[in-house]
Amino acid sequence: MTSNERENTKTPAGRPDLLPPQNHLLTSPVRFPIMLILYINKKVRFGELQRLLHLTAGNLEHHLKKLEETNYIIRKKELFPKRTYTIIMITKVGENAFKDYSQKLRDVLDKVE
Amino acid sequence: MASSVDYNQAFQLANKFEEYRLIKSWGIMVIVTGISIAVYRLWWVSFELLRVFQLDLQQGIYLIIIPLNTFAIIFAILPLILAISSYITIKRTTVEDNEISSKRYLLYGITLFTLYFNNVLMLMIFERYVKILLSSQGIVSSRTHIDVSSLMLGGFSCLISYVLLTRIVKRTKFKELLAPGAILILFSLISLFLGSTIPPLSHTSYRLVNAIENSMLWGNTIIMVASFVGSGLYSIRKAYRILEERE
Repeated sequence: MTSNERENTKTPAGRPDLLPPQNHLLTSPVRFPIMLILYINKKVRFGELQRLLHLTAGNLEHHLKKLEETNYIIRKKELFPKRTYTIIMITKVGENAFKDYSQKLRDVLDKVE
Repeated sequence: MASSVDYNQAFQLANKFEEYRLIKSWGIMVIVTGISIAVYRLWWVSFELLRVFQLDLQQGIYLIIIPLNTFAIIFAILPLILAISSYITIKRTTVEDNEISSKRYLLYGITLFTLYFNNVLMLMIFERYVKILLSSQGIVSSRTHIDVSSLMLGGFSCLISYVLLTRIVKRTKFKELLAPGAILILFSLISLFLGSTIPPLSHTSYRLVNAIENSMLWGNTIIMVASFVGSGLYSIRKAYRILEERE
């Protein structure tokens, strides 16, 4: 992190900003677990995520769209003999963003300690 | 859900998903193992077809033995490779409990490997060496095809994994490991008992002994495959229940 960037993460009161604004996509209570699961498993089915998070298809779709717009994830259709599955995969960009975000969280905790 | 991120809940969800994946993959692998053992046994018996089609031993080796052994090696090593790759992948991630998850994957892989390896390898060893030894001591008939030792070892590998896994992970009961383990041991004991009751060839007709042997071989295969498939389906259902349960 450059000194300029470090300056930007400070609030007007001079305190270090705990959650930097460039990670606002991951501070959502739905998108963080989605990215965490994708970070570990690399790819997940749409239906599995929906069951796990107890969300409606439309609601999950909304969050995935946001992640897709920032190139954090990509979606692919997989054909099986009887049905089609939507597979959600994490991209390199998404992986790096999540890694970066979790590192920042760790830094914040270190500062608190 | 709350409007801010509940990191604890997020990690709980990730762990739940991990558990779902693991139990589901175990279920699928158990079904595949059961079916591949049945295929292997059919293939093994097909050696008899050499006589029907009047093929010589050399042709038999190329047509049956080499592909049979390749099939056996692939199916025995596959769960182990999958388990090791899962072990490495999970160990690399920085999520809590990753140590436990990795160990569980590895243990599942080793169990399936042992199950398959025992069934396939011991079938050969039993047929060639153990049966001769046991029959010389009058424990089993020299004409029987039962592969008691493979069933017994397969069952024990399930039970040992059950004990190890329940010690590592206190929350889950791993009943899906108990069922095939108990069935395999029970059936191996029944087979051992039935095998010892087969009368010597001089006291009965060749056809009768042959009928008993065949019914035991196929009965044993059907029960084993049924227990594997049943246990696999139970695990898959359980995995979906875990995924859907609310905290």
